[in-house]
Amino acid sequence: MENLNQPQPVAKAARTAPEKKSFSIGALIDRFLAVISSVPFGIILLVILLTLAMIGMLIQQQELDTFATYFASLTPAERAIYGRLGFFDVYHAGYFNFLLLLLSLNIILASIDYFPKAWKNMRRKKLTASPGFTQTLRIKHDPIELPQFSREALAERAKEAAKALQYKVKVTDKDNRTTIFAERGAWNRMGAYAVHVSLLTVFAGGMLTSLKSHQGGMWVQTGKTDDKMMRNVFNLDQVGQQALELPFTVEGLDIRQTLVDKTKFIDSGNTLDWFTKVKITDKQTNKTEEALIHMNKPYDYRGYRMFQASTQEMGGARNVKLRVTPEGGGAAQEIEIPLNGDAQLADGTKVHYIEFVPDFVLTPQGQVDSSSGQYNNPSAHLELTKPTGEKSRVWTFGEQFQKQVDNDPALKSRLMPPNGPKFVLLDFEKASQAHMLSIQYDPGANWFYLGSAMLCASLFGVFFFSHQRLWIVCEDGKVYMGGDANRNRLGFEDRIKRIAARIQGVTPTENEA
Amino acid sequence: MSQAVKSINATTPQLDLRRPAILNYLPALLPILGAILMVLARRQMGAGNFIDDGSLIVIALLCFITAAAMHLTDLYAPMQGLQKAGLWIASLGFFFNLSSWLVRWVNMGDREGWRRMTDHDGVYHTWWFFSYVPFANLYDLSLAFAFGAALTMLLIEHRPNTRFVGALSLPLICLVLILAIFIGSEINHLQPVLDSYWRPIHVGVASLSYGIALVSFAIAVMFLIKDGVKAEAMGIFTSLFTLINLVVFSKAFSFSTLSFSLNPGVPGAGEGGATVFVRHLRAPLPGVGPFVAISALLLLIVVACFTVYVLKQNDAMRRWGHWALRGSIVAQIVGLGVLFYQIKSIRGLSVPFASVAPQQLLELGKQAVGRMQAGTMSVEQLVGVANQVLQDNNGKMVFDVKSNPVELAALITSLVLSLVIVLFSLQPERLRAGLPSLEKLDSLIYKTVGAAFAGIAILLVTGAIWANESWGKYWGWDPKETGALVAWLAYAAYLHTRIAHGWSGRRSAYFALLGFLLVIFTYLGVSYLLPGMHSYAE
Repeated sequence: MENLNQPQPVAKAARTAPEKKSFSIGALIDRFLAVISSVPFGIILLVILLTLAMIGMLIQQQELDTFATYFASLTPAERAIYGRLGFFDVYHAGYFNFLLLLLSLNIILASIDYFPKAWKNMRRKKLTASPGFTQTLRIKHDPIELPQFSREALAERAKEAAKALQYKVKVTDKDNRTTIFAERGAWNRMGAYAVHVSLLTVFAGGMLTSLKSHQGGMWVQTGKTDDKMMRNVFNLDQVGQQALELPFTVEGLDIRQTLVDKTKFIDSGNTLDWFTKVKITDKQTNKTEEALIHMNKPYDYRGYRMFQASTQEMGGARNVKLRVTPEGGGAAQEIEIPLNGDAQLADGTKVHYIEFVPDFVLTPQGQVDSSSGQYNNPSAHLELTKPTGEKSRVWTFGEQFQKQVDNDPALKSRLMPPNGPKFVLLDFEKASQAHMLSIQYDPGANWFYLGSAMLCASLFGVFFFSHQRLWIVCEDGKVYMGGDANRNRLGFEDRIKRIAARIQGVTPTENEA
Repeated sequence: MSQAVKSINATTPQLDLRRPAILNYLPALLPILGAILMVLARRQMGAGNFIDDGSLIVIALLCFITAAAMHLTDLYAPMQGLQKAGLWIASLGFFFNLSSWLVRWVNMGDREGWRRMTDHDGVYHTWWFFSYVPFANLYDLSLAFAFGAALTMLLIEHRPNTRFVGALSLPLICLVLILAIFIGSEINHLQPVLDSYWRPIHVGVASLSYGIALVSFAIAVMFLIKDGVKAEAMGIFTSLFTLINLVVFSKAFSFSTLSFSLNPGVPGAGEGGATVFVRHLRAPLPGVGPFVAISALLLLIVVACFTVYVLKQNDAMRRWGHWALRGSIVAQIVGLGVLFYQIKSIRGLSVPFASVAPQQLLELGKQAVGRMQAGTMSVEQLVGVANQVLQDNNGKMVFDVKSNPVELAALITSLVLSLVIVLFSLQPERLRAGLPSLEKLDSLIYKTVGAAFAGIAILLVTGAIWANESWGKYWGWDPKETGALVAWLAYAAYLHTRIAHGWSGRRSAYFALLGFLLVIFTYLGVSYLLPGMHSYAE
């Protein structure tokens, strides 16, 4: 920030002072501190970090999905050089973090170094000035001559004009002159320090994240429970997985997908949102709570944050609608059952919906399989429990395929019990078979948020306001004006002109605030 | 630059002090009001009875081109009426640009029946109309980038003596809109991950920050002109920009075969009858390549001649350089003419299997079967798939400007840059006289860079918060976020060099140029060249 009549900072003065030709440790430390606290050193660090960040952009990083293909396309020499220099994971390289630390240290030390000067600039109020002084300032106004007015009258006009433009005004009479010292936005001098404190808070958050955070994924299926998340471990083009145990269990209660067009497939191009409802059970306290997680709506539990990350593009059904004809004939009944849920038939038989296969097929070995993820031949697997306690399982299909099964005794005997009610799959609510939850433990995130909020506020304060100081010197029949602003000098010029106009009796009509 | 005392007086006011200050901002404010009325009219009248957003953006472009011509003319031959007309036509362009974007907002909602405004329990939320804010792809961002820059320019131009800013800002805004038109205004399905209220905040801040950066770039160029930097020195860099683009980034031009090729498309193959472009397959457009080669060769001569002129003040070299530049402009215009003629006229294109390079066939096969399945297939199988794709589309393919929007926009940018250099080399003293003082220009650069710096910081922060809500980590070193960080660091370096070394003037202007080039790299280069979360790269 450009300041008026700024004294040199202490460290700079120390650097430029004649040095004794000794090699004392104290002198060495002083010199070292002078270097790492200097702004030029900070700029050099910025440029190095900028260059490394560019390298990280241009050379694919090992966490990317396409890294294996990229790595295979490199020559052995490129692989060796980039690998040695840590360019495949540059943002996690030791030297990168060291440079970030050094930059933090530079910001702290440089701020300490420059703070007294800024503080002095903010606090110092030069309350008296001469006409000559006003004309040496960066922005000055031509002297205004109004011979018909006394000094007091001009001072009053000047004071009111400055106040109208929201300046804080101090009036001092001395040596037959009245000096009006008008100032606004003095706090702006502290803005840069607020920005740097915010940045340090962000860095602290980042450091905590890199040291203490862990993240993984967990597949959730309705009715299944898990207490581990799987974390990817990268080693160049090799990706391994590591299981991390959580202090709670996650049970899938419901998986739901809202679609743009319900007649089309469940791919992301036809999806409005994915919803995962889970029950979380704390291993320590055994307390349970239900959570609904969907896109951009994570759920926080004991410092862990769960996100809707991805889905399996294998057609599933959240619930099925079935037509049931009793074993001995009679009126058909329609029932709707949620996945992993039950329904009861008129004869007391309990029907449990176990699983869904979107493109039903029997393998040559006689195993049930899905020939694709698409809903080409949907089928629901049910478990029936008669009032007597006798259990059996049945595969149900749409009307057309059900007829084929009925006409093929061998197939029929494989897929359903010889006796029992007849089922036809009428409809179902499309959803994925499984959702992937991303689970993150990050104690640095809150620090990051705090630093970010401070950064936005302080940058707004710094760049959209300015510290303006204006000296108006009134003598009998004459007014002199000059001042400076650390930013927005064009706006400051306009204000001076408006004040001058008011002193001359021209009252602008606009809202000057 | 010196810390000269600035003397001002009330006899030559920059502003009419009797006039309400708000009136000075009318060219920036009225279009916003007008655009709101326009979108309300669109809601009332329905899509069928209203002009579509694609047409509005073409009208906006025409207004900006006219306003740019007026601003440039005013620099050489200042005229009060012309300056005002230029300002108000730019204001009209801003109105159409913003209206197009707002109408698109309604179109997006209507397309889905505003279904996103209802939550999973069926409850309707009025304020969820933000779900349809048009920030879904690079087209939307380009529209907002252009009106962000236009708004910044109009706000700065509220003072009569800053009305030079549009002379260079407006041509740049035109280029952004040309790119948008090439990308195409089709509305795509919004991915669920993007359906967050952070999207309008984050992308909105991005477009405004990019817009401010564009204006700071334009002022920095003006500063360099005023400070005596020769148009020929600038010509070296603009010519190198074109050459580097052709040699390094563009996949369209081949120096070995002197051919210019684009991705062909299959009309009607996509959703709603849209053209599907066959990525990884390039088909040459007859007659274009030689003109591109000639213009590149002439630009190479321009670089050589102007370099000798700048270093040794050799006037003959200056003349030769200008002849080469003008020759290159002619070659570029003819090349572009042939290119657009071929794009329009070639129909029912076939691409013989034998003419496609093996690597292209492999990538084409991978694209056809999907990356996951491609991993399980042999090279021969993938080539077989590619052959099948070519046979299936035999005689069905066409060319379209939307197939390679960035490469085509880069060609037009090269032409505009060459024209600007020729223009700036004509009567440079007159041009300099038309610009305000160095101090004022420097102050404007500082002001705009400061605002861009704050804007990009907020962009990074809002992006990080959104990423933490969606992806579970606030910083992932994704190329786009790293790109924005790099641009921010460049601007930080600009601000700190002012503090540490009192750097202002020419060196500061160079930093402002660098900052905007990095912004452009983030906006386009990262999206199209590098893989990542924000990538449109294949």
